[in-house]
Amino acid sequence: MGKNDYTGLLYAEPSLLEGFARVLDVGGVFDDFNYSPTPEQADRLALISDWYAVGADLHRAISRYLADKIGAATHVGRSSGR
Amino acid sequence: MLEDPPAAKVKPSDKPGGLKEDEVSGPNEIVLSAPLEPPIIADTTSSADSEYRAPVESEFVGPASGVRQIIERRRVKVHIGPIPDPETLKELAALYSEAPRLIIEDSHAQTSHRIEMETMRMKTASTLALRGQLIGGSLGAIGLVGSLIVAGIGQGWAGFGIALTSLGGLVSIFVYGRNQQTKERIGKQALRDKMAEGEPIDEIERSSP
Repeated sequence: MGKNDYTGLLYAEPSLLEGFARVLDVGGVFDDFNYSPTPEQADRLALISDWYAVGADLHRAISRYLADKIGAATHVGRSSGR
Repeated sequence: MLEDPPAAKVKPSDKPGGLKEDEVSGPNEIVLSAPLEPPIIADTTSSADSEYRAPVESEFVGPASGVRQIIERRRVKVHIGPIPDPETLKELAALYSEAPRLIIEDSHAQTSHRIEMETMRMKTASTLALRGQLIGGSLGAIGLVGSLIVAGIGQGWAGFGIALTSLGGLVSIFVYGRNQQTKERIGKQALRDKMAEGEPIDEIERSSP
């Protein structure tokens, strides 16, 4: 099952290791972000990711339900046309 | 225009005021549609006495040009959200007077809970990072001070080795940590690109780590 996190897509999560590494980060090179070309594009992507988070929750819930009821081999979703 | 306008084709013997004419379209006596009647349009989803019943406005235009045109406008109200629409709340209040207050308070509590969870998550991650910084800094400092002490008691090479190991360790962690962060950000950017292209959720979920 997927474990994508649809929030915090603009930066890497802080961690203990990052803290260790930051001891030598005198130049502040650790802070970097996923930028968008325009503010409008950034807003659009933020809205899209919110709805993807909702969709992912539904997808996981339906997958779990079907796995329990019908079988683990059941796949949820459209067939890939790509 | 090479042709004469239609009005010019009317015979001079026609009585004035008999046929109403338009200069462009000519005689407009022909009615193509049925006589004026109320349109058969109704909001079948709301009750007749509901104040939220979708109003239907009909406007009959014509027959100025000989053709009757019906314009219909329909206003539909859709509600999506954790709190029911006022009409439902009123109905619930009729059954249990405390219901609206409880529903609104529950919704507010759920929002606060989610905000609190996100705050805690970010605080924990930041605290971990700070803790790592303190531990890493302390270890580096101990290594460097230790190397100086060792060098001071006459073991120059040993002191040098300790200093080199301490600094090397920190530099390795710095490079590794930065690499991990970059990798994480690239992964998130790839996810953003997929979402921007409108890739189906099931495909994204299937390809997730």
